[in-house]
Formats: sequence, structure tokens, C-alpha cells
Amino acid sequence: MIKKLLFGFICLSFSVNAQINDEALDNFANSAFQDINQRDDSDVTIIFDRTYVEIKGKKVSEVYTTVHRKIKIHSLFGLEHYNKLYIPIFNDLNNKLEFVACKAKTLKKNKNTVATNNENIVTTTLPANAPFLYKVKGKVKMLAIKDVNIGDEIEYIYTTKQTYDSDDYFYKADKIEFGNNIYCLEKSLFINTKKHLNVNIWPYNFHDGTTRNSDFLYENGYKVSLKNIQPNFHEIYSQANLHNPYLFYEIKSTENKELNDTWEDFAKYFKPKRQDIKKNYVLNGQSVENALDELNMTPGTQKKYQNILSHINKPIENDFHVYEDIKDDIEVAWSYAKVISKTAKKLNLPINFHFVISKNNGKLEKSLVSLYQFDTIICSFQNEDGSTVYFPLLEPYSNLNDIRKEYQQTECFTIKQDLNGKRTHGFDLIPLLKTGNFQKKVHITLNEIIYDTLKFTINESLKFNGHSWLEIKPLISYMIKDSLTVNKKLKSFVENQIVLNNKTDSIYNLNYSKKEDLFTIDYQYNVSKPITSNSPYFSISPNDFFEKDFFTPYYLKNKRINKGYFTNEFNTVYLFSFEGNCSWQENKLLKASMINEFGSANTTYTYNNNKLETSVKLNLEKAEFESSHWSKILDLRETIYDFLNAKFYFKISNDFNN
Amino acid sequence: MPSNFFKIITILLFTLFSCKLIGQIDVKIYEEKFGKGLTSLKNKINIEFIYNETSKQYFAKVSHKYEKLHLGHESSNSLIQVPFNDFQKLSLEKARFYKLDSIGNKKLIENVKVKYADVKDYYINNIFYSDLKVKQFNCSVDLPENYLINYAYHVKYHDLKFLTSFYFQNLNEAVEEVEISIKKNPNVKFSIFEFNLNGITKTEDESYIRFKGTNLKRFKALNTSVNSNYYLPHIILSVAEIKTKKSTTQILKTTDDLYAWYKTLIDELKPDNEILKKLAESILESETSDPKKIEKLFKWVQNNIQYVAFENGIAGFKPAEAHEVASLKYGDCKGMANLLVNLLKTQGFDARHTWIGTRANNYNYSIPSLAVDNHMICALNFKNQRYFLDATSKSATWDKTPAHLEGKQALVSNNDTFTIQTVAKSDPKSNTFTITGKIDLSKPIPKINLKLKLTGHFYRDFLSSVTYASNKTKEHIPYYFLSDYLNGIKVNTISSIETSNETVTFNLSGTFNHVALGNQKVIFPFLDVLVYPRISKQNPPNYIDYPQIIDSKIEVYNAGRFPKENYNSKIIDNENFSAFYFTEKMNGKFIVKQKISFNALNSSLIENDSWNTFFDQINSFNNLPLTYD
Repeated sequence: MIKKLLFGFICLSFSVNAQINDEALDNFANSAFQDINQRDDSDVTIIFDRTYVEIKGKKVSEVYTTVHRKIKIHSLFGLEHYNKLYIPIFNDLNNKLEFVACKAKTLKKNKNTVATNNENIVTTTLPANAPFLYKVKGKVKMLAIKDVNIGDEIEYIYTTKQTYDSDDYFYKADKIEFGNNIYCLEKSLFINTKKHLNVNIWPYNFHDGTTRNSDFLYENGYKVSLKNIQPNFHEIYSQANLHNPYLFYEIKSTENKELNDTWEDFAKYFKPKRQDIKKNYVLNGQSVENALDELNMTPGTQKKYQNILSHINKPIENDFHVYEDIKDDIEVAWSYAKVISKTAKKLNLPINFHFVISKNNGKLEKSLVSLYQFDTIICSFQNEDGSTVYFPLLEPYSNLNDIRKEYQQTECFTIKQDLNGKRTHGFDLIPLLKTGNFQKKVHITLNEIIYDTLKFTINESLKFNGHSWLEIKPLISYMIKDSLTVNKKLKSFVENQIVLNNKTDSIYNLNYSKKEDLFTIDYQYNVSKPITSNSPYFSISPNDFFEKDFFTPYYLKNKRINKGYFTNEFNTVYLFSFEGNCSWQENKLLKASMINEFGSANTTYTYNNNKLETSVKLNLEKAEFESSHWSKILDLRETIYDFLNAKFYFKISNDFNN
Repeated sequence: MPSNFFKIITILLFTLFSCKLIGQIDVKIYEEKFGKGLTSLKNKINIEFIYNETSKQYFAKVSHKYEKLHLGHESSNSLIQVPFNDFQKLSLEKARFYKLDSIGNKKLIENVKVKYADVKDYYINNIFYSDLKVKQFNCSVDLPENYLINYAYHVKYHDLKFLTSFYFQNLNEAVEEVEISIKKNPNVKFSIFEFNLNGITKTEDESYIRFKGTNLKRFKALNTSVNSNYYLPHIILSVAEIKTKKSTTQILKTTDDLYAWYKTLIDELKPDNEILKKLAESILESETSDPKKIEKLFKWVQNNIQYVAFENGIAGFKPAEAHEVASLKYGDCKGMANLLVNLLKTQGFDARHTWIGTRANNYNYSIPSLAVDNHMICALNFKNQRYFLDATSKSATWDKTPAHLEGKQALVSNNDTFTIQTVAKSDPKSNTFTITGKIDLSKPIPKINLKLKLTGHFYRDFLSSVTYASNKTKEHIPYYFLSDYLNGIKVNTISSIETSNETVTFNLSGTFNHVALGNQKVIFPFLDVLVYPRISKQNPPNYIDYPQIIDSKIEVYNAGRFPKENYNSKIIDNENFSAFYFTEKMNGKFIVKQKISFNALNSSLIENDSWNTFFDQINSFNNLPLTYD
């Protein structure tokens, strides 16, 4: 009996271990404590982080991933955050990720090894303070690693199995990040597949190959390795992910002739063929044929496309929650593009489809023939005047040329379709279509003093112009759609614009106006402020009324690592005024001007007849800056910050007290 | 015949009309009376004790019925969550959402299928509690600005120890009518402890004890507010004993029963003393000094065991085994306390398991209820003195009790008996923040240079922030630690950070912005160092972190010139809070002095006026000018 049990246990151990990558398992078994040099600002160092992607059978729909990591702990903070291992698991509609096996141990600084018994593994949700390295949606398996102290190294190896419902899904290229906010001595990706499968990789930000160590002879797959990857932290006006090394990889069957990988095939045959969403949904419940009757009746190219845009917007306007789900889904955009292509062909209208990547997410890689490197698709056509007019997909309430700032002036892949439906392709640039700014105006009136309280009325107005309006246009248009709930919804929108110190439930006289390229909203609320007889002065700070105070965290003032982008930063105007029966104590420090090659910051005031009017303007002239120019950007920010955080002192007039 | 017919019709119409009027809800009246937000029109909680013939035991059935009116845009979130734990069996009965038409009639929007309500993990302030779940439901359609919800559920408690507190209102909720009734049962003896029952009436007859409240105003908590049990009306129901045909069982008649149950849980533990002794020896190495031994063992648990609230079922009350916590490297407060007790015992120290309610909890051990304590620590009798060791606190040292336990009663195990001891409140003089320095007005932009000194809890809080911070942010901790006290100061550098003798000092330099530099120079030199806010009628009292003194002495320099004003001994003084502010010329210098002292752990629980007067006066000092022509 004991023999049987022992045999069973050995078999079980063997079968579990068999799922873990052999090379990784061997390395894990033979590893030892390593002496390494640490960075002073790091809490842990990742000695290595190796991912092994394996397709063991014939199906590309079953992918085994083994992760093998070794991490050295340098600080208490590091100990608290890294003495546990989190393994992602999920079960989605079309694919699931299952836990297969795991081993963990502690390599003590005295060179002893302490194994962790993985019986204590629990399924839970990821704690809020889990390191970025482990951030995933859904549930995780958690294992506390035994006997870890500062100076020790933890090492673990685990395998998960991802199963896709259909082989089709694995045409999708996956992205592997090589950098994050931890110093990493080695990060490697190993892809191992059977011979009937093809693997392609597209590395980004691998620094001209100088630190790249790629072994392309690794069986039927690839080994890509980077060394000494410096940590990257979020900074103001930065997109750290744009500079982190990452790669796309793609595994697909050589037997599936339908899957091609040239831009020509992409354009000519509209491949890949994905599971399309219902075509009727795209044109608001109508088939292409039915919609054509109405479109044929519409005069002129521009009006026809305007009509198409209205048709495709209607379903997501009617069901706004759907918009939240699909707005970043390139597959849905692709389905829309195909229906529009068919419609344009039937109308004998030429059309272009521009496959674009947001400035926030990266740049076009021309050698990567994959739909999945794009964020969305923008359409364009020539109107009767010969001007090129653009329109977005999946943007409810949008009009022609409503192209978000993040897509303007970006390089794109373009499919041009002539009036006969014949398609050609090339690379193109989305032009600058809209500029704009955001303006907030606050007018404070001191109405009366009742006993020990000053009573103010605050009039605020917000003006969203050009691309700043485009950012909120779907949401606001949805809010004002239903006259029964418009007041409730706009009040909740306005509440978020009022800074915390003035949170109030007394918003009244709310009015708004929506024009083609401009949205304004104004409202009033009341604020009280206590005073005592000790002092005739009271003070007000603009900071109490403007949500963005241009505060620069102390630790970001002197050091700048990343290149900067003003991608979502709008030129800003703040107008702040005050009137009441009291005198302002002038402060000449509040007049300031800073101009440099990156823009200008101006703060000024006038004061006449107990009426104070001030203005703050920030104009940013460039879209990006090098880290060495940070001090100039900081000068602009600080000029605005000094004004917004100043106190304006007022002396109450004797008349008022009486 | 026609006459009778008309009479009947008239009565019928009148009845129908009256019913309709009664059913109507005048939104304006509620808005004027309670303001916007959530108002409960009618809340009913009924508690009854039922004999279960199968188990031959009594259980409690608590029925909840709510009718809640949501007014205004704040009510966009229609999610209703009903929390429960492993000792409760929760059954949702019904939930209906209604809108109100223009004349206040209810129109059904959705009759929720409550049997499909989700069960989710419960999060409080984003902290996950494994032993708490919620059943939740939502309205599947967009709700209008004003809507009404009716829902009902019942909870069964098969172990009557776990019957604890019942609230008449919740935070951010006004209540028009509320009733909590307890159906008497001759075989179940219980006690009721009442808290904050202003405006709640109590009646009692042969069958029921009833508490009724009307028109309870809404409380809105601030970040600095005390916990809701300090001010919301509620009762704690504690079952003393139950009689059955065969026997009488004592449940929680006195605190003796509470301790007796806690002791059974401790007695079930079987610490592996061999492992623990080896661990203690490896931590202590060759240490011989007793205080150093205690310090090392305490620090080891504090630094190596991560606090994780994995408390499921009985594990919410019974500590995990000490050797298991030492191995896993994580545990809850009970696990950490138990480990510390056992490690200290291996070295011959007199360490005891100790239960305590933190300052989040406004109860004491005169109440025999599980609601009284929410934390476990280790008490240590050492050299004729008792120390309270809390390894979950990052700022505590073994001989300094953390601030969140000050003034609270501790239930200290003495094997078969127990003692109750109150943890001492610290002296304000032991927790000081001292500011000295100079503001130089002679420069175009006023400069400020300060020396800052922290002692006591200020010092320990700072030290723990630095110790447990990421290496990347460590050097910026001083700025963020001080920033609440630096209103008006734009900091350029913080330097010369030194710690010695339970004191930390810094030098700070920057610019001072509380000025008006027009044709004359005006400076507002009194620093804005009061970090606790003014409290409105709706706000609960402030929680003061610990007794403390903030003392500032700053020289204002303006090229040898002196201001017009001089302020003498402006004093605010009462037994809990005091402040004095004055200026003086001393050795040709113009000195601005201010001192704020807190001797209480919270602002008054009864009224807010005394705190607000204190706050307003201090704030008005911040607006006292010094004018230079």
C-alpha cells in the first residue's frame, strides 16, 4: 500500500513538474545566493525575471507560461512588499488562465536555503499595496515566502496555462514589458514552439541593440534578453511606458494559409478576418442595403459621410455603457471600418482608413503587420471643396474632424479605397486639426457679514474649447441628452470641478451652452467663512477654487529622468475676481511673467473701486521636452503655482461692520 | 337607496383620496427638513429569540425593514450592500426601487430579484477583510434625481454571543422615523447598553422593549472625525443567559464570561516552544540585557511579520499559532500578539495575552460584549511595571504605548483570572513640535529659515515613516511629514536632519508667502499650524492624534525696522485646549511667539461650539498683520 502511495506521489510530482519548463526547473534547482551591487534608491533588485512561453501540443490555443524570478530584498519596504508571491488567474469568456504549479524558496544571506511549502497557497484578490510587478485584474493565488529577511533573496518558479476557445485568438500578438519601476539585472523572454508554428517578434526601445542579447537559434522559437534595466517612475508630463523596452510577439500556425503578414494582404483582403460584431448594429439597426436607400437620397459627399457618421454613432449614443466597453477595442473599430468600406463602395465614394496609435501609447512599427498595435481607426474623405475631412469611429456624438489631440500629428497606416472599392495602402500622417484651451472663471462677491460670518456668493464658469471640449464631449452630450436627468447629471459633473474645500450641495442657477466647438457651463454656490473681532482681515486663496494647483511633488523638483510630453495638457486660462465692501491689500509679488522657448506663464491683477480682477495664463508652445529642459518647464509651473497658492488679504470696511 | 349609495361612494372616494395623500411624499418638505442626500423614512429592526426544536438551542432572528428616500444628485449610486460574517445567516427578502412623480406618488421602477443578489468580499477604506462579506444589489436602470427604495432582510444568529450593536442611523443618513424593538423571552436574559440616545425614547411592556426615534439629523464625517460609535445613536445588546428545559447556560453575563470564552480560545493553542525558543535565541544572539532582549524580540515581530487581516470565522477571535505566524511571516493582531507573548515567555519574561478596544472604539469593559474590544496586544510585567506592547504599530517601541491605545481599558490575562487596566494618556509636554527661526522681509521675496524639533509621538511617527518608507522616497519624508504645518511656506531645502535622545531636528529654508507687499509691507507672521478643522453642526467631533504642544518662536527682520503693531498675550485657555500668541521686542529683535496645546484626545463629544471658538480665534491670529510703512 505504502509503495502504491509512494508511486502515486512520485507520479503526481513528476506530472506537476512536467508542466514547468525544464530549463527553468533545472536552473531553479541549482541556483545559489548571489552577491550583487544594488542601487541606493531601490528596495529590491530583480536579479533575473525569465518568462518561458511554450506551446507543447499542436494547438496554438494552449499556452504554458513559466515565470522564474529571483529578487534580492534591500529594505523593510522591500521586505513588506515582496515577501509574498502573487500568481494571476482568470476565467474570461473566450480564454482562461489556470494555475498549474509553483515552487518557492529563500536563499539566505548566510548561504542557507529555506524552501516554502506551497500548501499554504490561497486564492484571493490582489491587495492594494501589491507591487506593480504583480498588478493584474481579477483573482490571484498568493503564497507567503518563508523566512525572508533584508539581504536575503527570494526565488520562485510558477507555471500557468492559458487556454483560448479558438485558435483564431492566438493570431493576436501579445506584448511583453521589459521595464518597470524596479531595477532589473536580467529580463528574458523564451519562446519555444513546435516546428509547425511560426514565431515573430518586434522589439521596441532596445537601445539600438547595444544592450540587446538576442539568441535567434533557440529551438523553434526565440530567446530575447536585456540586462541592467533601470527603473522608470511616473513623472509629471511623462509617458514612462514610451521609453521602456517592450516587444510584441506572435505565434501562429504555418498551416493556416489564411493568416498572412504583409501590409498588402492586410489592405487588399481586409485581413485578418475576425469574429465581426453584428453588422446591423453598426448602422443603427439597418443593413448596408437598407441604409443605402437613405444615403443615396442625401446630396453631396460631405453630407453623405455626415449621415454615415450619425448612423454609426446612434447605437453607442443610445447605449452609452457599451461605449465604455468598446471605445478602445481595435477589433470593434475594425468591424466598423469594414461595414463603412462596403457602404462607401456601394455609394461609389472614395474613402481612407487610417490605423492610428495614441501618442500616449507609442509609435507605429512599420514592420509589425498586426492590427493589434493600433488603438483605433480614423476615416477620411475629400469633400466637394477638395479638402480632406476626418471622422472618428466609436466616438458617440462626434462630428466631422472631431479627432482627439492624442491622434493628431501621429504617423499611421492608411488604406485608401477608391470609388470602385479598389484598395491601396501606405503610411501617412494625421494632420493637426484642432487646437483649444480650457478656461475657468471664478467671481467672488462678499454679500454680507452676519455676526461672525462672512457670506459669499461664488459664480463660476467653465469653458471647454476645441480639443479640450472633445475630451469630454461624449460624456457631456450623454448627460444633457435626457431633459429629466440633465440637472442631476450636470450637477454631479460640476461637483467634481469644485475643489474639495468648497464642496457644497447648494449649486444653483446652473446653465450650459453647447456649440460645435465650444461648451460652457456656469453656476453659483454659496460659501461662508468665520471671522472674529481679533482681526479686521480675512484671506482667500485661488487654490480654494481651482482644481489644478500646479503643485510639483518635492521629490520631482530637482531630478528628472524621463522625456516630457504635454500630450493631454491644455493651454489654461484662470480668471479670478472679487468684489465687496472691503479693501484688498495689494501684493506686487502676484504680478509675474515667465517666458521661455517652451511657453509662457503670466499672472496679473487690476484693482479699482473695491473690485479685484486677476488672470492666470499658461501657454505651452511645444508638445515635448527633453529631461535636461525640466527646469524651464518647472519655472512655468512654479509661476502659476505661486499665484494660485498665494493668499489674498482683505480688510473689512468699517461701514460693513456697522 | 340613492342617498346611501352616494354616502358609500363619498366615503370610498374620501378613503381612497386619504390613502393617496398618505402615500404621497413631498420632496420639498424632506429637502427643507433634512437637506439633500439619503433620508430614511422608516427603519425598523426587530430582534426576537426563537427556540430551535432540532438543536434544542435558542437563536436570535433580527428582521430589518428600510424605506429610504434619496434626494438630489448625490444619490446616483444605487448600490445597496448588506454586510454579514460567518456567524450570521443573512436572507434578503425584498428590494424595490421607486421613482416619485410630480405630486410625490411612488411609481415602481424595479422589483429586484433579491435571490440573485451578489455575494462579494467586503472592503472598508479599500482594506480587505476576509471574514466579512456583503450581499449586494443594484437598480438595473438609471435612477432619477429623487428616488425611493424599500428593502427587507433578516439575519439569524445561532451563537448569541455575536449579537452586538444596533444603530438607529448610519453615517450620512438622516432618519425621519426609526424603531428598534426587542421581543422579550422569559428564557433569555439580556442587557441593553445605550449610547448617544438623545431624542430616542424607550418604552417597555410585558412583551417588548421599544426604542423609537424621530427626525435624526444627518452626520457628515471628516477625515479627522472620531469613529461613528462616539456619536451615532445605538445600543449594544448583550445576552446574559438562556434557559432551556434541561439547563441554564450563561452567555455573556459579565466580563468574566467574556474573558472565560477568550481563555478557552487561548487554551486551545499549542505553541511549539522548541521552535520558538530557537527563533528567540537566533534573534537575541548573545544579548544579555533584559531591556535589550525585549526590544529585539519586539522589533523582530514588528519588522518581520506583516499585518494581514485574514480573519475567517473563529479566526476572527482565536489567534493563529505563534510558530505558524513566525513561519508564514504574516498575521493579524492576535497572531502577532500571540507570537510576541510566546517569544518573550521563552526568555522567562512575564508576558500576557491582552485584549483592548483601540481609540476607534468608545466602550469599556463594564459592557460584557464582543463589541468592546477590537484588538489584541501583549502586556509585559517587567521590573514592577506593566508595559503594553503592540507590534502591529509601526511607530511603537516596547516601552512606549502607541497613541491609538492611550486612555483605553485593557483586559490582561492572568491565566484563570484577569485584570482591567487603563493605558495611561501621555502628557502634552512629552509630544512636542518646536519651531524656531527667522523671517527676513528685507529681501524682495521674504525668506524664512527655521529649525524644527520633534519629540514623543511626533518623533516616533516620523521615525516609523522614514524606517518603513521606500528607499526612493526616504529623503523626501521630512517634507511630507511636515507639510501640514507649512502653510504659507514654499520650501526650498530641508537639511541637517539629526536624531538623538528620542528627538529629531531639521533645518528648513524657503520663502514666506503670507504677505501683502504693496506700497507698504504687511506680513501675517503667525503660522497656520492647526491641522484639525472647524466642525459644522453636521460634523462629528475631531479625533486628536495625541496630547501635544506646538510651540513657535520666530524673529521677523526688516532691516532693523519695527512694525506698527504689537500683540500682547492673546490667550485662549481651557482644560482641554489652550493657545497663546504674542509679539515682543527683545534685544532689538522683533519676536513672534505662539503656542498651541492639546490635552484632550478628542474635541467635545457633546457640542462643537467650544472647539469652533478655539479654532476661529486661532485662525483669526493667522490674520493679524504686522505693518511696515
